[in-house]
Amino acid sequence: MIVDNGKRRSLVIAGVFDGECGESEGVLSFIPNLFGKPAVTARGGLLDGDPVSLSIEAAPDGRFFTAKYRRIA
Amino acid sequence: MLAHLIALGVLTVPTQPPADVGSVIAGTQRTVSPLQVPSSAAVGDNVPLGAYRWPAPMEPADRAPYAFDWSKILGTDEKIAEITRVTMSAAGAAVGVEIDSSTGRRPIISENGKAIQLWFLCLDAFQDNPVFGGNGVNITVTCRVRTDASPYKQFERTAVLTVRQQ
Repeated sequence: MIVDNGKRRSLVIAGVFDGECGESEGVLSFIPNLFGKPAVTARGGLLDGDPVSLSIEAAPDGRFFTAKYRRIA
Repeated sequence: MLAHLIALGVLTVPTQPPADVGSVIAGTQRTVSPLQVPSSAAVGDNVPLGAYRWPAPMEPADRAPYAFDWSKILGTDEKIAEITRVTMSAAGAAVGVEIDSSTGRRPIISENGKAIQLWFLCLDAFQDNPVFGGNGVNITVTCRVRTDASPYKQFERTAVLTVRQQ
């Protein structure tokens, strides 16, 4: 039996979020805590200090946002 | 060579420990019952269509059991043989909600083989998080089980847990 509780990772998205997000099965989840720009317009950030490109979607209830990411080499 | 050593008992092959079996004590308000044909209603929060929702919300400081009752999916004589995987969503990880795997609270299969029980916990550092105020947050938990049918069947369902201050 595998119990997967995901993990928390440091995420910085300029004007959107700076803090710990959750990750499970390759998806990041966060509630924006900065208000510089709409979260869905962001295209990149720093995940654990490493630059990543992001594809962000709003959850229907408007609180959480989810993001798929790809490391920028 | 390895096969010989295994056959002679010199080497052992690591195997998954058998699933724990015990009494499911979660009440009806903390139980979801997946159907053969799930609803196609949207639940929200990027949750799969037709996901089930535990009626009872969880207060972040609570330690209480929740259950999946698979009896409407399983055949009459069919039982759950193994809980393959239990996965907390990224949203749950973000707000410190975890599936408890401590002694006495790790996921178990009911004695009749038709249900499984999980305990959740919210890490102490997150319990006063303002996101749990008001309507709280909806997080998803996905559970995959295998049955004792031959060949085995495998089912995976997602349920929504509302976590809010009460």
